[in-house]
Amino acid sequence: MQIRSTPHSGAMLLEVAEPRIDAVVAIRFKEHVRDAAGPGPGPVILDLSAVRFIDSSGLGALVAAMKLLGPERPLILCQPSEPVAKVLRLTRMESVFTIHSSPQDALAGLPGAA
Amino acid sequence: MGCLRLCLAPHPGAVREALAILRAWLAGIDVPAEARDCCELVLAELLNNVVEHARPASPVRLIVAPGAGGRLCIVLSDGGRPMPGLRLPPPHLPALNVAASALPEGGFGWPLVHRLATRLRYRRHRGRNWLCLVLPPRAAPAEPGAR
Repeated sequence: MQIRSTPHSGAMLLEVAEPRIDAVVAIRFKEHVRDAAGPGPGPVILDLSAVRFIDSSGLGALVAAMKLLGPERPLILCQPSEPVAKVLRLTRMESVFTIHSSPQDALAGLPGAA
Repeated sequence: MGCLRLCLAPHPGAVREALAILRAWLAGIDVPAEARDCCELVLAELLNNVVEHARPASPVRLIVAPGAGGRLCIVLSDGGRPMPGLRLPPPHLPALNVAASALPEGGFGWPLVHRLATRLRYRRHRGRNWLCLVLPPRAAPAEPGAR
């Protein structure tokens, strides 16, 4: 599981460098996200543009990661590919996650951003 | 156009390999990209369910056949435990209007399958589970049960 992390002021940007979030990687996904997010503080922006496939176990892993990070570190999703966006839509999870079309939009939407 | 016939060991690594074979096969037939993604997702859900819940001791058998108008017909069978109550799990999504700490981490698989497939049928016959379904060329995100 490859996740690239780039700190920004007040937030951590994580880029999932994996084409699939499936049953094979779902089990340890939340720990990978927590480790890549570091001690914080601030929101965690998860860039999903490289992910071409997600199934229900991967979706559950996103929820698990959000819960593990807790309310102090909201998980924000950005630029999901069309197959990933479709799964979020069909399961109505687009109403649960905050989703932005780009990392720039996600960063601009943070409290205190210029 | 020929069918895809696969026989796979009931474990997660074999499911991933089977889905890679499926993708390569789908790339060679005349179906829209959206239908290919949909087929991969539905089979990921069904095969993961077999591996996690039916837990057969013998290989899982899968046939995918191109049908008229870009449809894909799927037959999946396994020698594992029967579905609870000998029926398909319900199509309802888990409740999402709950506290963030109580959000569901599972229960999305069958709702996805019900939304994407048509003519979904389950049968227990001679100690095996049989699932038959059809994937339309363009999956309508209609409410399950409306068909």
